[in-house]
Amino acid sequence: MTAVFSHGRLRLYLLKLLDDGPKHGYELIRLLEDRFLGLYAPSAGTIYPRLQRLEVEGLVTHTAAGGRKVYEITEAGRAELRQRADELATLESDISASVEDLSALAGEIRSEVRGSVRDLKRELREAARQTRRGHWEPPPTRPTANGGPAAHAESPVLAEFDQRLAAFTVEVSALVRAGRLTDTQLRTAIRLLDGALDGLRRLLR
Amino acid sequence: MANWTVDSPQRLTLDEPVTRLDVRLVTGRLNVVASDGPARVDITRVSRRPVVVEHRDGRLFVGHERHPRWPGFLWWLGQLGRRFRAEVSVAVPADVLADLHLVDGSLVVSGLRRDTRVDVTSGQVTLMGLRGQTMAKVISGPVEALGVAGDLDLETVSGELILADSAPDRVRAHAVSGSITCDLDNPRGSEIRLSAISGSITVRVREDSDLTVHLHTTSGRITSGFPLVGGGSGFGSIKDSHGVIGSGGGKLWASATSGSIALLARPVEDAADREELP
Repeated sequence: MTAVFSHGRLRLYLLKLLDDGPKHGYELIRLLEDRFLGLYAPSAGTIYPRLQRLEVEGLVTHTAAGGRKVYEITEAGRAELRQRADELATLESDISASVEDLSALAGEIRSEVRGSVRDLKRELREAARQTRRGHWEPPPTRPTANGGPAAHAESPVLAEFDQRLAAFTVEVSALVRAGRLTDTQLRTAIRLLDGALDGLRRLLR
Repeated sequence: MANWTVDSPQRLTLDEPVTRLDVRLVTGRLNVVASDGPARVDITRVSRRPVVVEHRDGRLFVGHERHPRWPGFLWWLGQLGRRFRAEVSVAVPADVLADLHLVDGSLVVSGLRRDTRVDVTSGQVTLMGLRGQTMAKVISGPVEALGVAGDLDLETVSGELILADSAPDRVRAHAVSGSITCDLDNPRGSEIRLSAISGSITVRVREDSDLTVHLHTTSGRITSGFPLVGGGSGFGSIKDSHGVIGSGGGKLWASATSGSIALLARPVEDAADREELP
């Protein structure tokens, strides 16, 4: 199902949805979910980085309303949509085709649910084991929020990681300030950072 | 009013609105998906007994002309069951009242918002993104649900019940020999009642829940991730644990006869985190 959204097509579709009117991230997720008959419900982690990138490129802007960011398409965003009208039409027909074949769709729903259920069982089994262990011998520090098999705070590897992370921040910001970079270069750097963060999130979750 | 007798794969589109869906199938696959467009019935497989589709006064019926009187019995005969094999997918508006019966096979329902009843004798049930009232009953086989809200009633004899990433107001789940696993993003004041005979119960609720908790097991053990809900006390192997989480507005009741019970805390990201992180 997500195959429909390869090569930056989700980005294009987000622009299209925003062209119908300003929306916040959660609304966009709901609209996508409806369009795919409930099957494709992208997570906030899929939508927000893309919106941020669109914003960096000047295609959308946001206003904060009641603690939520409401995104709005800009003139540049509309121009991009007009320019890629053909691509959008193909995307629309691909989406329609993907929900046309009901039995294939149901197959996807089944495997999606099965996958989530299997992950959940594994996660809860692990959480129960940790809780049980914590019950008998309370650890000195509380386990991390996501309850994963986190390393001990004193682990030398973790210390090295912290050191590297700090060094990384220092060096990168020094580099950026030393060389007079163009906006495009900076945007590319930002995108690179987003990409690295995405990768790390995927690795660590 | 419209009638079709379908004896080969066929796709039907209904122009009139549909408010009720009744399906009675014997063996095969049944998929029901909520959709914005006109209602559709997609029959991808039929065997000797044709599938009958009737549409009258907003009620859509899919089934066989003469449904066997004792479906379970006929299914056990095997041979007869095969004559009734069908694979049917239906797309209907999200607010239909759905009553779905299948004797043997797999059933998928997604996106319905009002009142959904599912009855499968032997097979697997998959529920996704349902709202409103949902009732699913299976004799032998699992019920797997994802992202379900509203009122939920699940029952199985020899299968597992799994409820993932759901925020229902009320849950009632009963399993005999299977286990129950629930991961709830439960709203305040929700009511959760879980019972299993020989299976175990694992339930995870938000760490900021308001629940009055009562856990009971006759010969299993109790694990609790909440400091105010203990591991249980009682005579011999009987464990009974009472406690309160938050203000205790809602209710969580879990009882297992020979299985264990684990109550876990689901970490809650604050609103800012939720905006930025997956």
